[in-house]
Amino acid sequence: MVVGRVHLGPSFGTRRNMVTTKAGVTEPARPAGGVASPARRSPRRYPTRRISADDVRDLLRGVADPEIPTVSIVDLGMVEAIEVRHDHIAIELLPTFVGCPAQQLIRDSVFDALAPLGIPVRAEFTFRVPWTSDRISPFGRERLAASGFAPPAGPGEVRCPYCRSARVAMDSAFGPTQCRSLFYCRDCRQPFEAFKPV
Amino acid sequence: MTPAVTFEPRVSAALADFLLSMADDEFVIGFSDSEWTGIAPILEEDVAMSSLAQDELGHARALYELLADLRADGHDADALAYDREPEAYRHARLLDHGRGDWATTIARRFLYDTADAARLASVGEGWPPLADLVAKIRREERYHVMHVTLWAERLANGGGEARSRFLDALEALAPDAGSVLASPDGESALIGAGILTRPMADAASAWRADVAAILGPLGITLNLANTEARPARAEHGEAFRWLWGEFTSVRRSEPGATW
Repeated sequence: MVVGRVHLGPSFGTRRNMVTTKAGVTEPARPAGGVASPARRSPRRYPTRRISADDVRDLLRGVADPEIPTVSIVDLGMVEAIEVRHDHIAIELLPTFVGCPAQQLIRDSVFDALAPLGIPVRAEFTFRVPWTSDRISPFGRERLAASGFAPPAGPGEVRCPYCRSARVAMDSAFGPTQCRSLFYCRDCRQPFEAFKPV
Repeated sequence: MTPAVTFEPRVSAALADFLLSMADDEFVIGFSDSEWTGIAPILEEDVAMSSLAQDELGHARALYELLADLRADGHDADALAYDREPEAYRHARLLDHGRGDWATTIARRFLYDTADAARLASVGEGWPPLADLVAKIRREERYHVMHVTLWAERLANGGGEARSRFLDALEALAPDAGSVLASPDGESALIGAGILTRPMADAASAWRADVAAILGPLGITLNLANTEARPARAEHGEAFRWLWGEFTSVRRSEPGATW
């Protein structure tokens, strides 16, 4: 018995200017009339040599987790791997929480962001590497704080994102989304949310 | 990418049963948690129970997906979660008790979360997809144990009705609590394949010690010996039939519907 890898639903993009071939692979749509039948067409080649993983990463800086719109998935540390192959781009994403309901939306946003490259994209969520809050970049932490959302910190290290006070109390470990806890600042008397350290 | 692993049939059969029992546990407790959405005693708990429900249903989904991959028989996670008759669910007997009042919910969650932690700590590296998922789940379950332990302390130290209701609930649930850690069929095959690192009997000993370490300082002694003759994960009663009717109602009203 052979066991495949972890996956969360169909893994190929089917967005905007992409079409699905009989083999279930998505590729850029081509103008009507100029398409040979899939059976007789020779394997397609894409100009992937001109594209680097860094180019892909830069485009992904425009993709945000809808629950944390001020920080890109790159700065959240959700992009584990980018591989530019001869006929497609393979991307491995890490969910922040196992049951994060935004996974499908994030994957669709990845397909949208990379659509201008005109190359099939394969994006997959994996638990191969556990996402941890330590993966958030220093820039990502700054952006979180600037939006009134305390970056993840150990017990006793959480600071109020408004006045930077350390005199804060956790109201509840569970907040409005899976990744957030509720805090209260005793100095500026503001309730605020903090990213759960996981 | 995860390397493919090939198992003997008796190992894959035992693995499938084990995945189903874990997934059903998380699914049933997660759905029960969601029953508090809108009616929890305080707003923070309304939010917390809803978030816990989301965590547990997410864990259940990921486990059902692993099972669907393993069996590769065309049944996806939704089919596994919603398309079985009540008798085919393999959640632990502890979870056949309905959510009850707040004290029962906390007592049930306390016994389940501590037992689940001991079970998760028994999963080895034998099947990487499960080991990877469990590593991730354990990071989230830590918060569940913290949350329910705080509530156990709050109710026990509250005195009066809070304490007496909590104690009554613990006593009522105790005979069924060990069902979470009942030895699965094919346990030796799972240990042989490195999917489990220890027998569930060892996990149960560790769990009883964990529970005693928390309840002892609260002046509570609980007998967690499994004295029930009923099967650990079958013959679900009326409370579960009702819950099953609730969580399958949308699916049954429009088979094959997608969001």
